[in-house]
Amino acid sequence: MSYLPGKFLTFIITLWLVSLLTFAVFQVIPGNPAQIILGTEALPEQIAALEEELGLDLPLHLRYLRWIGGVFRGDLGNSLRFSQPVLELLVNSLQVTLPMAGMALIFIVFLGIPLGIVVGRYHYKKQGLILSIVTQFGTAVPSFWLGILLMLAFAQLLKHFAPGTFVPWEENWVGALFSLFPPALAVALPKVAVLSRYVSTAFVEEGGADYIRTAYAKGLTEKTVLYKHLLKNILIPVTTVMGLMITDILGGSIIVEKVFALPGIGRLLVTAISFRDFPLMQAIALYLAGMVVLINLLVDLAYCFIDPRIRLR
Amino acid sequence: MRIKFSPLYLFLLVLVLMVSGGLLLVGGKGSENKVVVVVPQDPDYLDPHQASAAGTYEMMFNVYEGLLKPTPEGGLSPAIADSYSISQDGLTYTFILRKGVKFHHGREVTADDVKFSLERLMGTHTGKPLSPFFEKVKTIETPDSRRVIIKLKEVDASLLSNLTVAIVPQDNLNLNTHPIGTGPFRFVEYRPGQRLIIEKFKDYWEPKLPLVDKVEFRIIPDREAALIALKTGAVDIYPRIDNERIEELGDGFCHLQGMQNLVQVMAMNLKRKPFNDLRVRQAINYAVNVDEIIQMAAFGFGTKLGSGFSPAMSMFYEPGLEELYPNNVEKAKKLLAEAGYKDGFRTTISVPSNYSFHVDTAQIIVEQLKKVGIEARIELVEWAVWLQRIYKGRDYEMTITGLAGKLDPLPVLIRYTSDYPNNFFNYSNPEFDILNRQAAAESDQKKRAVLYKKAQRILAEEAAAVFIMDPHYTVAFKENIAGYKMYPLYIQDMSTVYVTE
Repeated sequence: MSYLPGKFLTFIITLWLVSLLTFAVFQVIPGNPAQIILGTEALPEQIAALEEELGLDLPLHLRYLRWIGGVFRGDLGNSLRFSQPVLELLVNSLQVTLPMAGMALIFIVFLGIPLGIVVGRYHYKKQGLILSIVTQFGTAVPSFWLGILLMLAFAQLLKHFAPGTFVPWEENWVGALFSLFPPALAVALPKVAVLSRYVSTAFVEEGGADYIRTAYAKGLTEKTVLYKHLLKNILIPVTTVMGLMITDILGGSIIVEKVFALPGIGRLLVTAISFRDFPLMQAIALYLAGMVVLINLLVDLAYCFIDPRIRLR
Repeated sequence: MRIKFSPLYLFLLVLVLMVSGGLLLVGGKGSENKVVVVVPQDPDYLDPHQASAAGTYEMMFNVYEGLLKPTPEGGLSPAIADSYSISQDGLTYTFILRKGVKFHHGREVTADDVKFSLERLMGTHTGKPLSPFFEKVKTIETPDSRRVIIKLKEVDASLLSNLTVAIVPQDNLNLNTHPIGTGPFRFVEYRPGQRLIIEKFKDYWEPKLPLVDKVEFRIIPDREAALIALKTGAVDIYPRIDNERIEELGDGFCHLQGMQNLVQVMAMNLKRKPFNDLRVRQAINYAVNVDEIIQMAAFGFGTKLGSGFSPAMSMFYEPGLEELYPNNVEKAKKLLAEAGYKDGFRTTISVPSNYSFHVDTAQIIVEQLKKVGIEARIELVEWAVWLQRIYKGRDYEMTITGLAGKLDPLPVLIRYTSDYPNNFFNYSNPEFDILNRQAAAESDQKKRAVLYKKAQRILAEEAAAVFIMDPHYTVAFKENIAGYKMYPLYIQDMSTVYVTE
């Protein structure tokens, strides 16, 4: 089966293209990292000295080759802004973003799917209409606004949820988990609404299908029809949406991280761009691209598992 | 009875457990003698000789010290040096080091460390100076372990204020990972995007200081988040809080306010038409109502300026210039007509988009200029682009920025001298250049002040720019914090801060 090697090749080529593109974009947009680091007081000689130290004075192709050579040796280089290894910075912010994404995913799955089923079941009733309005509202709410609301609510109700209280994992893992709770909720809620709408729509569409009628006709209870027959069949569209959502939340939410003052990947990305920090930007771009490819692969595999009729080629 | 075990119930159970468990665990903050200060940005380099960001100096001021140290009044006081003397001709400075000053790794500071640090900055052994401020130094001699003699090529009036640079041990060159200085606090850890922690240095030469055991600088770039962090008690001190937000704090909080030694200025590209015409520049100065800007953009918390110098440095400040161009629309129109712009003209104000304060100011100025017929358009520019295109490339018509003051007038006024590389005003006036050169070579501070005051008057009379204000800076802190000292510099001095009960 040539599926996996083929995917792997695409994976590598995608990453390479992304790195090339990021590099090119950074050459086109104005802004000199040495100047940004040194600020307004720096004299031209100081800027030139720093450029030399950071290797910014080298010709373009050499800079790129130097960087990609480092990557093959497992060295992502040093950040220009933080003067620290890029890998360390990336790992540090992933320690915030990944658990938050995981927590958000739990919220999405365990709130979105049941909610969708409930909305679907009451589709033709009054309650369904109300729930539908609620989920519609949920999809429309921008996450920065929700973030500020949640932050205010949590900060007022429970003082310990204040922004900027994220503690390193090794220091107090319960505290760390705890401080990720409100931002994860802010990331999850709009997505819960979206997912539940997908589920309820699929539910209503599939609900009228022949096999459901047959299942009822066989005398199966509603519960069995629901879990054994209906849910299985709506899993394909749900998986597709989930795949998109997961890649989205793994990239970190710039806005939610800003609102909650979390040192995650979104904030690192903003810093990398505003400081024209090329090595850091490259590493983040590679991570994001890698994640997208990987999640798509997992979604493909999940299709096979859910529906054995689907074969990977 | 059968208990249903659906995923939804399980999820809710976990949720409830988490919230209650978390509350129990985070509950006790402990009675540690610690202060948390919120800062908006990460440091650039922890090595003091490589660092150039004000945001780094603000924190590391507590870790590193120089021969001399700035005082809250804007003067200098001895730190590592105990005393110093200057020769008659102003070319030889002799410093006697204080007894018993120790580095954080335990060793006593010697004259060799001082020589090493200064030579590192001068690039004596590398050929690459890390600082442009010691060009006039000829030699540094160390006759014994407690005496340093600095000999100059020519008189340098700002040498003393430049000797506040950090003295570092010559046996440690990993300052970026292991910062070691002689300050009241020693470095503990730095986590990018999260925090920088320092703790009390027990062998500090001033035995009574510092008063707290630990200080955490928590990095929160978002102003809204920083404010909530203060309100909820997650942080104790919030320097540079937005002035309009102070009232929100209410009971349980105090604040201090002062000039920050910053010159907010609207530069006009003097090499471009119509700004090369003095009458146009004067007209714009008459058209801009600074009092209104202070009221609307700074909520009244600003000191009006008339030239490129803040009254925070009172000794060198020329008073009265701020009344040179009182708001006068008729006079502005008349001057514009004389210059051939009876119907005004169109122009662009480029503003760095990350400084909302300057953006607000620009919006007010646009309205004020409309009254005299000048149609100004605001162009928001990203900071990186502003630095490259406007500041370095001098490609702009008008722009608004803040120029930070220093302990010494030289770096403030040198910005307008014609051969200064960062003179983005494109200002050029031989008389002004000569005054600055004379002042730089004058070792009598009183005579220097006279020269610098004259220079300020020239800038104002020539309307080199629209000098707006020194926006006040406000520090908010919890009621139980005391001893905070304000400096006319970008500094958080934590050594005198303490927690009351």
